[in-house]
Amino acid sequence: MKGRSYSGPDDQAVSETIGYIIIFGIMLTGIALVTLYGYPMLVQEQQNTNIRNMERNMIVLQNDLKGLTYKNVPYKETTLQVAGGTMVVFSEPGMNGGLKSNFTVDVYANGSEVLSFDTGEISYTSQDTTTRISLENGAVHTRYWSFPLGSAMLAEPRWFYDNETKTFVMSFITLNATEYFAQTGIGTVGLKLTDTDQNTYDLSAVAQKPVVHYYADPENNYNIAWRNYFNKSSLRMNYISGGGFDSSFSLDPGLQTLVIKTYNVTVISL
Amino acid sequence: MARLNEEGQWIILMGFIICVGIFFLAILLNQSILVGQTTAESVIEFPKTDIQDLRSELRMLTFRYPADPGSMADSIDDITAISLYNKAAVVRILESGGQITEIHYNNGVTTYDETILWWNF
Repeated sequence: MKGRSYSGPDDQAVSETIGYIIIFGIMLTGIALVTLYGYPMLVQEQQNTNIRNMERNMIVLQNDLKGLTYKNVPYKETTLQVAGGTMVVFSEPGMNGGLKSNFTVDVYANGSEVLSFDTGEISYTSQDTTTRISLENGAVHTRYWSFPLGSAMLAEPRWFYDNETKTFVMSFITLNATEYFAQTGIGTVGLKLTDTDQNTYDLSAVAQKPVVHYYADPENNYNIAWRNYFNKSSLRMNYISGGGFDSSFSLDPGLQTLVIKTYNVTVISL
Repeated sequence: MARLNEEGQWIILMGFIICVGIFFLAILLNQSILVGQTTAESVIEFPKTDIQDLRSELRMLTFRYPADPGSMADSIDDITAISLYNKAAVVRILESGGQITEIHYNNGVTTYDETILWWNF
């Protein structure tokens, strides 16, 4: 050691083998962590992104419906990508059999004029069947299998109560389809307005105000979403009764005019 | 051991900074799609032209029927019915002595009220 100049720390105990083992160990730990935790997280995130995209797509379709119903556009077409699940159309009436979600309006609240409206829906179910997003009667709902009775409204339909003129305008959009459509991947949704109708009721002299009743198909139950929507203060509806699958609301006691608009929309392609 | 040349270390640093930058840009881009959509929706939904059309039509009415309350009332009824049927908008127009005094418009998203003293566009 004599005569040797000092050049940095003493590295006599440094072994290449030990260094290699340490680095290799760190690398293996890293790979193991990514495989065990990172990858499932990535897949989950991908699925979440798919579902969020689909929520957006459904709102796009809702805008198409708004164009058909409130802007007198006869036909609308949108190309969209369905990933991580399947989009199907549940047609009214009873094309898929079984119970159907529907609305009834008891105009004079005594059973003398009860109008019934079936809705039909365009619905998306995610691959892992945890989430369902649905376009029903101009509203977009979401539902999780972990809460079978719960549902939430992502985008509201355009029902409104005009307090100045005491007019309630409600619209019912019935979806029909020419085939049993289902879609994954990129496809074009074609919607056509087949017919429209409007009924106006003067209820200024009627004491009992109309009762709106929603009955949900147990397999496509958006009862809570509708109940929360009807409870909105701007609609001035009063909750009467309801269960897990149905809700009844009466309209504002001051109501004078009820306008019921009905639209039949046919899904031509999906 | 020969001394390491440290002059190239800035390349690694730049790489790191660019990575972080791209990450934040991705987050921003992801948000902007949603914001863009919401903005576009509210622009589409705002019934600007509907209200403008309604106002200009009513203004024409006051010139057309200044001394004919019957025809004016009929026209106002028609406008109300057509608005409701085509646009699902509740419209109420108050008129007195051949002059329109009040416009009320509500389509469920936008409410518009105007008291007209004189037509100043």
